[in-house]
Amino acid sequence: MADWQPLRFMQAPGPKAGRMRFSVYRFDPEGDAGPGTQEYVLDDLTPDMMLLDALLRIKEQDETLGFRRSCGEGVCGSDAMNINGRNGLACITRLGELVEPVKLRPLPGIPVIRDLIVDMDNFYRQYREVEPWLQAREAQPEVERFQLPEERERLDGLYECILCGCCSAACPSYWWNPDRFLGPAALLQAARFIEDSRDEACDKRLDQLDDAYKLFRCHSIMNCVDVCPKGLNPTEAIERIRKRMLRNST
Amino acid sequence: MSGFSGMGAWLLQRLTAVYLVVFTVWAGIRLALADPWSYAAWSGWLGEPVNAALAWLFGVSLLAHAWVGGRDVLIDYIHPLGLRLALLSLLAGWLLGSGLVFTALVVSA
Repeated sequence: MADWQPLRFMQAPGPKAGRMRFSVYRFDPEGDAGPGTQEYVLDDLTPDMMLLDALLRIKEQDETLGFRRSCGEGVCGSDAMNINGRNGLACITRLGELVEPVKLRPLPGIPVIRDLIVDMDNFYRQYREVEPWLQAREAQPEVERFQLPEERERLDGLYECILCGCCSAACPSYWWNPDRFLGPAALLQAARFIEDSRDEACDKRLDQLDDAYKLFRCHSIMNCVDVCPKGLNPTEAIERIRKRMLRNST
Repeated sequence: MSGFSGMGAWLLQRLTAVYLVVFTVWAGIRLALADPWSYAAWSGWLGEPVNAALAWLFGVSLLAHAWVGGRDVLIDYIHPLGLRLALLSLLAGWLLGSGLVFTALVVSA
């Protein structure tokens, strides 16, 4: 089973039962030992099972293992982790795609609370910092605020973010300056409101982002695009913000 | 200040990049086609006031471009404030000094 590859499953008549090895990052803040890894072996797995299913099986073996999960279908973003060196959601990662031993680590560059659980406080603070809500001077109208279909289309690729943190935790600029660079996730949210035809705070939003850190630490490395489990493109969203800034300043 | 360090710096980097490419290609072609192919022809061409001004602008653009890039690297990687300020000052001093020397060369040519 060491060389499971997706293509080989497609050729196989059906899911095969199998044994897989997992190497999981462990850290107990209350224990004496520093961080380390622990090996687990599971039997009777099928390639169609998701990594989260395997983690839940490991949890049955060893209830001290800590990880977050909720919806189990790639909507809530709770189970973001580093899977074989790449950030992703355990619940939508098929075991069949993974080489062994499956190395599970917490999201890189983010403080670890315990095992695979990281401290997302800074991430959420940055999300709040872009004021991710519609800002309009007029009082709330009786009916919805209308948009043209074209105006609505500009939000496609921006509103679908589930804030799992895979992108920001894959961004080298975010690793170097996590306190002052907002990171791809928060900037995608900023773009979502800057692009919104109903929002009237566009100029203020652009002003707030115009310093050396908040947006301009982005060097278009595009790791965020590479890992986003929802297939979004934060680099392009950041580019759209830059273009608007440019238009505003000229 | 904030306007310059964000969008302003980004814009400066791109505008200087465009000028660097355009001047390099244009001057490269002109110098390659110099007839006769000699030092005298080259220095004569560069000695014309317009060409000298454009070459000077090239030098200034190069230094400005280097400033934004070097500053980006230092902001990314050097976090202790004192060390960063020292390195930024060093970079700024070096680039300004280079600019002065280059200006003196262009003026004297």
